[in-house]
This record gives sequence, structure tokens and C-alpha cells, in this order.
Amino acid sequence: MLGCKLNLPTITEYETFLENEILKPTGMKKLERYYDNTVVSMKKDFGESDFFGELKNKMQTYNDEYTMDRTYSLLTTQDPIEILTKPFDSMITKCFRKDILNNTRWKEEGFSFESDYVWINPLNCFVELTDILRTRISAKYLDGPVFLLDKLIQLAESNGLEHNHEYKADEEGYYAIHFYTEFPFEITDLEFESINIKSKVEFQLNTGIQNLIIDLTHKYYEEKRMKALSPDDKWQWDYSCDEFIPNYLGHIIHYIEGMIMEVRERPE
Amino acid sequence: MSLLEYLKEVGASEPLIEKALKMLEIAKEICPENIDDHFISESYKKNGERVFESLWFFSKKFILESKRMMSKRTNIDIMCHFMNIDRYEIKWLEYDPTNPEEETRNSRLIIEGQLGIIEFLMKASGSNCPKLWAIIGKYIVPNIVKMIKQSE
Repeated sequence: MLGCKLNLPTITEYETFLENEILKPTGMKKLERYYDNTVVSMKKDFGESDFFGELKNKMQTYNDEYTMDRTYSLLTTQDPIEILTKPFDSMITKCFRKDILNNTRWKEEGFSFESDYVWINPLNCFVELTDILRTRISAKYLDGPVFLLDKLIQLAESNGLEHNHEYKADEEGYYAIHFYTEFPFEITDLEFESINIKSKVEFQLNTGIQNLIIDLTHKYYEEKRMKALSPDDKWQWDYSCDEFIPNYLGHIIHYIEGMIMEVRERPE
Repeated sequence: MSLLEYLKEVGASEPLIEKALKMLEIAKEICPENIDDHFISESYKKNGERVFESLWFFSKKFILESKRMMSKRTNIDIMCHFMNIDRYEIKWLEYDPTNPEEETRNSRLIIEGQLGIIEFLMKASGSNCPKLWAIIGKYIVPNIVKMIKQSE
């Protein structure tokens, strides 16, 4: 975060800039329909892809392989893997964070909306953002996400797909492994011409208990991400603030899950 | 039907099939008779997870069990079932034993009983129910009926 001393544009000013300069003459309303239609099409294509089909078919095999090696079940649920799409408003919010709140160019003297910069917007977001399509797979135990990561890497490579991953361990108590696979999509532009793009699909690998924490703390996480915080804002020292308990819950749960693993792996 | 075909039909995964085929090889080594039949005991948990439990092998006089198939554990035991079944109880749900081939996804069939001093338990769900019913008819019923005839 850059800090509120920089006097960054607000989200309203950002949206106005997008509508008047970048998205002109189409306008935000029409672009929202275009965005929604495009992500529906991308979701369908990814859902019908060989990679995703193979993943769905192999989940039982992965579960059994893990169980036969470690005795316990891999997954928390037998529900099918669900592909989620980023809602339009959420996409705009993310663009605002990337273009404004987390954009270090604003530190430069004279940097403004008129500067030479590629703004992320509803037209190029499918390539620039990594979670237009995402899914979440939850494991029962703390070693599950790493096991799943290994399987996803193998699957991506056998399907000839580029991939990368990040081990997430945030200050706010968010723990997960994010796996990204770059997938080819054929979408249409505003003139209904076909264009080929590559968009990253995000797989969030975590544990079932961490999922509960995410659902509880998500709103605090989102509120904080939308603020230009001052370097003096330290929730860790403000025990009465809204984030204090939910954030530490995430850390405590992660620690407890480590302790559960230690007990689980003790010899019989 | 071969063990491989049977396991594929009941939806066993590759790791389980691999272990089962190894257990079959061991069973053939330790059983003095030809292995004529097989059955995998399985059930569904409340969360919908299907759990494969023991793998059973049958010959004319012997019954073999490999417990906890879904674990690292490798084990197999052998007992004589010939005229050796003391008692058994059959339970079923959404399944008609008088029409054993008519099963649904929700069909459940369980047999538990006593083989000498050892208790046995076999469970089947869905399309596996007719297989268990056939096993009961071929290996369980004749070996308690014979005991009844002996005591007459």
C-alpha cells in the first residue's frame, strides 16, 4: 500500500476516468454486459477442457492415493469442483487496487491519469488479472494442499499448459497455495471479432478449516484492501479493531493444523 | 468376471486396483486351493464419500480377507469356511433380495456373522449388492446349512 499521504484518486474518480477515457464510447454499462458474457463463455470452455475433465476424473484417484499412503482422506467434501467467475464489480475493484492503491508509479512526481501507462480495465482484464476464473479445493489436513499442488503441476505439464504457484501466508492470517495455469481462450472483442487470449485460472488450495476462516474474515480483508493505509496503521497493535480477532484466528488455526499433523504422523 | 473387471465396474481407482491385484497374487500363494471368487466390501459415509474396506477372496473351502485396503497396511488372513459358519445376519435397504439383480444407487446390503471364533462383515452398495448376494448364496448359505444338516 502506498499510503494516504499520496492523495490517490478515489474509486469513483477511477471509474469516471475509465468510462470517459479508456472505455469511451462504449461506456461501463455495455461493458458490464460484455464482461459477463465473456466470463460465462470462458467458464464453459474451461469446464469442457481436457485439463479440467481429467482433473475431475482423477480426484478420486488422488484421494485414494493419499489415503492409501497416509490413512486419512484427502478431501473435505465429495462435491464436484466448482468453477467460479469474478463478478464485474469485484473486477473493477481489483483493477482499482492494481492501478491506483498498489501502483508505485503514483509516487512519481507528475504521474496522473494522463501519464503513459497501461490501465487494467474490462477490456484487457482477462489477460491482466489472474483470477477471472478460479476454483477452490479444500483438503482435510495441512499436508493436503501441497499434495494437490504436486498433482496439479503434473496435470498441467501433461496437458502442455504453463503454470506457476504461490505459497500465501499473509499478515492477515490467510494461508493457502495459489496455483495458476495459463489457459488458451477464444473470446470475442466488442466488434464480435474472435481473438485468442491466454488467461490464468486460479486454483486456491487450502484446508477446510481455513475455508471457514476465509468466509468469516473476507469482509475485513476486502475493506482493508480498498483503503490507502498509512504506514502507521497497524491492526496488530489495535486489539479493539475489527480485524484483530479474525486475523489472528487465521494464524492460530494454521498453527493448530500443524500440531494436528504432528499428532497424526506419530508412529502407531 | 476377473478381479480387474469387477473393480473397474464398482468404480475402484487405479491405486486401489493396483493394491488389490497384488493381494490376489498373495492370496493365490497362501491358499491351498484355486481362488474362485472375490468381493470388495464398501460403503458410503454420510458426506457421500465412498469407502472401500476389505477385499475378500473365496475358494471352495477357504475365505481370505485383506483388511483396510485404503491404507498402507498390507495384510491377508485365511480361514476355512467349509461347514464353519455359526451364524449370520443379513440387512438390506432399498434392495429386494428376492429380486437381487434389481439394485439402485441407494441400495445397501450388509452381512455380518461368525466364522468359528472370528466375526466377519461384508458391505455392498448400489451395483455391488448383486455381487454380495451371489457370494452369500455360494459361500455362506451352504456352509451353515450343512451344519444344520449335520446336527439333525
